Amino acid sequence: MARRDHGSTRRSRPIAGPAAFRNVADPSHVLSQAATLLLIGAHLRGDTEAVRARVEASGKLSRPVTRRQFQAIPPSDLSRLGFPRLPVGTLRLQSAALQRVAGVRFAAAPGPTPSRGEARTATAALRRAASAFYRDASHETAGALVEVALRHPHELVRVAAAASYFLVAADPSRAIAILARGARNRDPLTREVAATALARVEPRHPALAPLLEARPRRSTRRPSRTSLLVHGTWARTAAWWQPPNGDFWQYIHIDVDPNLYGAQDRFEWSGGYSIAARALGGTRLNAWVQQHNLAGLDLFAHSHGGSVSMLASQAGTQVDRMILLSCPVHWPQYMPAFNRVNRVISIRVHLDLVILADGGGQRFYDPRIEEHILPLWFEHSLSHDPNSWRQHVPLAWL
Amino acid sequence: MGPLIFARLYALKSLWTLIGCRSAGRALVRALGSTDEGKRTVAGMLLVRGGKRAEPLVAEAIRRREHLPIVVLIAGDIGATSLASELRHLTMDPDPDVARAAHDALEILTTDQR
Repeated sequence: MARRDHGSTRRSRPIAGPAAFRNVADPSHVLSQAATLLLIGAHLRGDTEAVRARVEASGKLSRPVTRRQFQAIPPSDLSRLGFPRLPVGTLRLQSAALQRVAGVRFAAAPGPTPSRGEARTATAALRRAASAFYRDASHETAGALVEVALRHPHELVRVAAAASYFLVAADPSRAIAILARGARNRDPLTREVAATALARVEPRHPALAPLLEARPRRSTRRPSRTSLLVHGTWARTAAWWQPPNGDFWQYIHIDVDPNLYGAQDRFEWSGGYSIAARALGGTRLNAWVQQHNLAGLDLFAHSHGGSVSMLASQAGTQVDRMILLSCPVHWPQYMPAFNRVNRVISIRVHLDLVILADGGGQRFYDPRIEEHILPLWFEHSLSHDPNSWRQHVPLAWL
Repeated sequence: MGPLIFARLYALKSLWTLIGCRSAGRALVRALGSTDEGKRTVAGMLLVRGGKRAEPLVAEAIRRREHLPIVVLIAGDIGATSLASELRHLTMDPDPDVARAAHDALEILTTDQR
């Protein structure tokens, strides 16, 4: 099968409309086909809408942007490629149904590489499927084009089709083999397209491992004194801890520690309610602290964010003060590595109902942990409420 | 969240797990959308405690896109391998919070299996 290094095709030009599908070897045709197939996925997925929503939510726009003004993919590029209007949304069909729409029938499910016969049949069917798609762009005709392109002679096009296959097919698992093989391709473009698509659907796929091998580079900056908020279960998207506007983040930043970390790459974990989720969170927190060269930082950790912080200390993170807020006690499953933590301070309310549901203990009994119980009852969230802190937490505790 | 709400959530959990009352399970799922952080958290914990029994409720909620970021994570927490393909689809969700949660849920599933 043809294998080209697209580093030599920088002068390729987009070929518009169905004409792009009339040649399966010429670099400009191949790249235009791959772009078209990827655009099918992006349109069905609603990428433009999603990017607009994120930009609007970031509040970084000086004035409201209308739908016409904001386009994640410039309309002029779409027009150069002759890409038709395609509605957002997914209608997933069986492979056999997609083949019927394309007017072709393949004997077997697509493998990572097509047989000669399959590639020949696909090449012939590709033109018909492309013509149908440009004549009447719909979920069905887009899906049919993607289905046929899975057996394309060129791996870049197969990879692009596989990347969009998840949006059109009821059983997209077959596309994973194509992406996994593509992620090992020598051509950087094919490899990157395949790896990116594979990472979206199967982030732990072994084919990605060689590309994900960590090459940690320790920062050469001197360690700086700082602190960090660590959220708890299911609180990753909660507002209170998010810099710079979260109420508790602001309170700690203004009243307690002006060095509270507030950059965009602040630490966060999944917030899952399982041993596995916390273990992953602890490992990530340890890696985050090493990468930022922040050993010796203070941690303000709420709920099972405290468990994550304790796991991070066991993984090697040096902590100055670990301030645990309403942290359920699961001793010794979650306990700080006392040789790496200078002080552990626990602040909580009486009879915390969330901890009751969690099945954890309501207080620490190890004398190395300074336990403070606020004159407040039941509410798990009161320990990250700025008003509770103003009224009941003397800064001398810290 | 006061003790009354807490007791109600536990009553729902008992109805759901002891006599298989699905509407009680659904009420727990609905509580995931509460503005009360404590109520939301306890409801989620009780669903996770239900283990595999929560799978149909979680699958239904995912299909209806109810309280998606949390429900998606719960799928990972209860080890719902049968929902892996749904989770993979959600990794491409236009809502970045949902897509990220789906990535995390798949990672939790994988870690749990090891």
